[in-house]
Formats: sequence, structure tokens, C-alpha cells
Amino acid sequence: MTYLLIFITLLLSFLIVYLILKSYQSQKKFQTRLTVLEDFIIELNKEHQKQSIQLQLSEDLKIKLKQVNTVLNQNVFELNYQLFENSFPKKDH
Amino acid sequence: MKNFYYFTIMALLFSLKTDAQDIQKILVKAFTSQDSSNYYFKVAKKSIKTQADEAQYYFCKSARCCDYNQLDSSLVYGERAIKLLQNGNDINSLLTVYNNMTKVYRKQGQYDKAISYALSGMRIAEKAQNDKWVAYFTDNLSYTYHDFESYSKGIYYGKKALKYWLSQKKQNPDMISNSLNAIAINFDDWNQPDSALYYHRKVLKYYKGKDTLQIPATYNNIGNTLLKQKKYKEAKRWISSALRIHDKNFEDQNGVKDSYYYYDRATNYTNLATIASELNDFDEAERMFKKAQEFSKKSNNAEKLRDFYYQQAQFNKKRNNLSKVVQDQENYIKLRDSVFAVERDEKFSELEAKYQNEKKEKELLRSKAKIREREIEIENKNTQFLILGLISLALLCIVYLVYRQQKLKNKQQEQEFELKSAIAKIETQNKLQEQRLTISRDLHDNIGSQLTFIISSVDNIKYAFEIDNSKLDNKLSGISNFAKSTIIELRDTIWAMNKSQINFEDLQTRIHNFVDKAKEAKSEIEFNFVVDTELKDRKFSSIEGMNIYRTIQEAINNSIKYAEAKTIDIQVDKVGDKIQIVVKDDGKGFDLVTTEKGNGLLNMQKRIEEINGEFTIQSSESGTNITILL
Repeated sequence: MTYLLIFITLLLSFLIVYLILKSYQSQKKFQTRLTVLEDFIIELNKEHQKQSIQLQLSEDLKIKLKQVNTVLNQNVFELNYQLFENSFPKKDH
Repeated sequence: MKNFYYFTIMALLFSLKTDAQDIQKILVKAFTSQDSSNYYFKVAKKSIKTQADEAQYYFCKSARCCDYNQLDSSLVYGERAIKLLQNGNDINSLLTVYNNMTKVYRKQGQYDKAISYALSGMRIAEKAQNDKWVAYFTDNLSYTYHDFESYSKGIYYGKKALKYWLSQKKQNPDMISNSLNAIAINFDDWNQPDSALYYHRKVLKYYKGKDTLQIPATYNNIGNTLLKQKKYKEAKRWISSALRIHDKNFEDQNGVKDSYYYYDRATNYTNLATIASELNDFDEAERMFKKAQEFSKKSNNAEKLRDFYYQQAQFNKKRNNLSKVVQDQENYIKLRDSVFAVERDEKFSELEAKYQNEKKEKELLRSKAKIREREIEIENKNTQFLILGLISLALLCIVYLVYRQQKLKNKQQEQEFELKSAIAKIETQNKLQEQRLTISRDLHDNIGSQLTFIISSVDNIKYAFEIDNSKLDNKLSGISNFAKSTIIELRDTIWAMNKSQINFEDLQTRIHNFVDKAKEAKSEIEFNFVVDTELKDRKFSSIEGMNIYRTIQEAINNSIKYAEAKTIDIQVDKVGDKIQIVVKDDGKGFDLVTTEKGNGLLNMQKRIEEINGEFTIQSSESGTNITILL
């Protein structure tokens, strides 16, 4: 009986060691996977950031182009005005 | 009893191993044969090969001599058999020899030796934990003490043996009746005839009809008790029945005249003679005494002879035959003295005391062993409880570990899911941004081409129509220049967008290009552009680079447009971990308090703050100083 109990104790001890090792390995494996995913996220973030900057630059340019558009419209208007003035000079009364 | 001994010996002989079968067969013949026993024993002696064979030979020889009243020979062979059997493992044979020795010594009236052998046999049987043999020897002791006229002890041992035989699941009537008989004869000779009859009649409970042929001794003993109660006629009837049963058995057994034959008849005839004497039938008594004398002598049994001489002396006394009385008394006393010597009595007590002491010591040892066993058992139990505790602890640990593992797994799955969700979200956002960027790029390309078209259209108009109107010419030139500068700005933005990182060298080249163009446009202004060489490897994000570039561009443009400066210095230095960019002109400056900040200045400040930098502007009549700290 005692020997049987000792045998069971040893068996359970081995089981505990096995479970601890398995847990440790599982954690390690998960850490590796996590690192890969984190690296991937970092890469994606970098890409995202890059794209954000590009979009910001694009937005800036868009604003600038709006201003350019206004200026150009004004210029074209003035040019047309000048052309009309030259083509149809004012009559003096 | 006779049957029992015979059966035991035969069973022992047949139970021996097969490799000694030849000698066994011969020994069986030697033991059972009437006339050729000596011949078979001689043949058996020649067939002896091993020590075990020799032991069996002497064992059979001793038993045979015992049965046929060769008592001295039986003792000699018995001793030899004991010596040989003590070295072997045949306990049953050894105990049988001890039993025979007891019987022989009892017959001889050497009760001390008989008891000594019975106690020795008992010890061996107890050691071998053979309770049956212990009971056999107990019976034997009862008979021996009876013969020694120590009736209380005889009854004690008889009852002890009876208790054992009655406790058996499968009761043996022979052994029960043997014990009952032992108790009864002890009571009988102890002058307690009622008790004796009680036990005698109990025997009859176990034997009915034909079976009563097996208990002639009981018939005789009942008769004997009745004789003592002076119920002569009744006693005679019982004893005569016993004698007839003996005769019948004698016929059935083919006339074997062994020791029992003589013993039984000696008993019967002595009793019948006594009854005849008591009834004053002297002729009959004389005739019976003659027979009793013959059988008593041949029985070689001290007790029988003693009884015979005593009763004959009483008879002769009754008949006033004094010379014969004296002779019988002498014989009786001689036998009695030989049996009942004081030393022998003391030896009896010694033997028994020794046996009892040994028994007590054994019991003490046994109880000590039991205590030790109990202690070991308790120790074992404690150890087992300890181990069980450890097992419980281990099980708890396992449960905890499994639970923790499961929890961890769930947590990991959650984390993984969160990360994957985040990845999916970012990827979606990235895709969306990518789409927006693609649209932006297409738009930039379109705008670029449209601006180029405007420039070429304006230039074509200018050269094709030879415009004299200076206002109109200026307007056209203004539109063309404005479109060109917008294209440059567009290209700068596309340059920045296409780079994930901008190093300072690229930025420096870009600023140089701008400064060169400014020089071309305003040759009267002196431009100084100095960059700290340590900053060569410094990298910026595209938005940082673009904002720095645009701010410097705006600052230079402001100096060119409004300051009427002669010199514009652009100085880039490393200050600690930071970069300091200073755009300085020696123009007319402006009043920071009174002059409202225009879009240009606000844009510059906004751009620098966007990239976490510090923007400061100082202006006086001697010029304007713009400092950017990154």
C-alpha cells in the first residue's frame, strides 16, 4: 500500500513538473507569436503613420491648391477684364 | 483411537513424494503385514537411499513395534527416527513419532518421559501452528495424567482437547469421543461416577447402530463406572458387550493381535473378574482373573498390570488366601512405586512448569511481536497519511496548474484576438489611406498637367499675338509665373510624399535649389546658407522635412518681398540635442506689436508647432530674425 502511494506521489510529481514545463513552453511559444504580431503591428503602424503624413501633406497641398485656384481665378478674371477694356475702350461723353 | 493412529501413519506414508515410492510401498506392506512384516522391513532397509528414506524406515519400525508391544524396540527406533526427522521438513512424521513415544512410555508407566515427549511434540506443533496436533498431544496428556492418577490435570487437558475438536467446522466423532472418554475415565477414577457417566453417555450421541462397534472402550468404561457404583449386573452387561464388540472387531480385522487386542481384553477381563468377585462367584472370578492376568502381562501396560494385581489382591483377600494376597500386594506396590516415585512427581511438575514458562515466554514474545507489529502498522498508517497528504497537495497543485494553464490560454487567446483585431483595423485603415493617396496622386498628376497646360497656353498667347499692352503682358506673365511656382510647390509636395524619411542632406539640397532660384530672381540680394556638418545624417519624417522646408521658404520669400534686404542669412546649427535654424535679413523689419500677423507668419508658426518645434520671430529696423528650434 505504502509503495503504491509512493508510486502515485512520484507519478503526480512528474505530472506537476510536466505541467509546469508545458505551461512555460506554452508561454514562450505565445511570447514568440506575440512578438511576431507586435512586430507586424509596428510595421503596419509605421506604414499607417507614413500614409498619414502623406495624406497630411496631400491635405496641405489641397488647401494650397484651393488658394492657388482662387488666385488663378482672380488673375484670369483680371486678364479678361483687361482684354475687354482693350477691345472695347470707354467712350468719353 | 487405534483406527486414528493407523490412518495417520498410512496417510503419512502415502503422502510422501513420488521419487521415494518404492520404499514407501514396501514400508506400507511392512507396517500392515501380519506375518511378513520383518521380511518387508529388511527389504525396505536395503532400499534406503536418502536420509528421508531412513527416517521413514525408523518411523514405521517404531510405530510397528509400538503396536505390537515391542516397547523397548519402539523407543530405540523412535529416537533414531526423531534424530533423522528433526533435520528434515516432514513435521507430520516427526509429530507422529513423538506421539508414539508418548504412548510407549505411558504403557511402560514412565509417565514423566511420556509427558516430556507430549510437551515436546506440543511445542513443535505450536511452532508449526498445527492446532490439530496440539489437540492430539493434549488428549495424550489427559490420558497420561489419568494413568498417573493426577485426575484434575487429566480432566483439564481432556476438556481443552474437547473444546478444540468441538470448535471444528467439520467435527470428527472419533476425536470428540476420544476426548470425552479421557475426561470420563479421569472423573471415574477420581470417584465422581456421575460426571464420568455424563461424559461417557455423551459419546453415544455421536455413534448410533453399527457405528457403536467403534466404541467398545466406552461400553467397558460405562461398565467400570457402574461397577464402582456397585451396580454389578448392569456393569457386567456393559462390559460383556464391550468384550463381544472387541471379539467382533478382532474377527473383522482378520485376527490381528496387536497391543490394543491385549490391552482391551486385559481391561475387560479384570473388570469382569472384579464383578464376579463382588457377586461372590469365585469360580468365575478366578477364571476371569486368569485371563486378565494373561492379557495384562501381554499388554505390557503398567497401568493394566497394576489394576489387575490390585483387584486380584482384593479377590484373594476376600477368599482369605493370604499368601496370594501378599504376593499380589507386593506386585501391585512394586508397580505403583515404580510409577509414583516422589521424584517423578516433582519431575512432572518441573516439566509442566517448564512447558508453561516456555509457553508464557512465547506468549510474551508473541505479544511483544504483536505490539511491534501494531507499532509498525501505526507507523505505516502515519506514513500513508503523510503520503496521502502529499498526494492531495499534488492533486491540488495539478488542479491549480491546469486551471492556471486554461486561464492563461484564454488570456492568450484574448490577447491574440485583440492583436489580430488591431491588425485588421490598421490594415483596413491603411487600405483606405492607400486609396485616398492613390486618388490624391491622380489629382496631383491632373493638376500638374493642367498647370503646365495653362503655362504653355499663356506663353503661346504672349508670343503669338505680340501684345503691346504692358498691363495685359504683366497679367499674362503673372499667371504664368504663378502657375510655375504652383507646379514647383506641387513637385516639392510629391517629393516629400514619395519619401518615408528625409535626411538633412536632401533637405539641404532642396533649400540650396530654392536659394539659387531666389538668387536668379533677385541678384542684388546676397544669400548665405550655412549648415553644421554634424547634421548631415540627421533624418526627418516627410512632414517634418516639408514643414521645415516650407517655413524656410516662406521666411526667405518674406525677406525678399517685404524687407528690401540686401543680405539674407540662413544658418542651421546643432544646439545640444536640438537643431536651430535661423533665417535672418538686414531689411527694414516691422513692428511686431502694431503689425498684424499675416497668413504667411501664422502658417510658419503653425507648421513648426505641428512638428513640436519652437518658432520665434524678432524684428527691428535693422532686420528680421526668425529662429526655429527643433
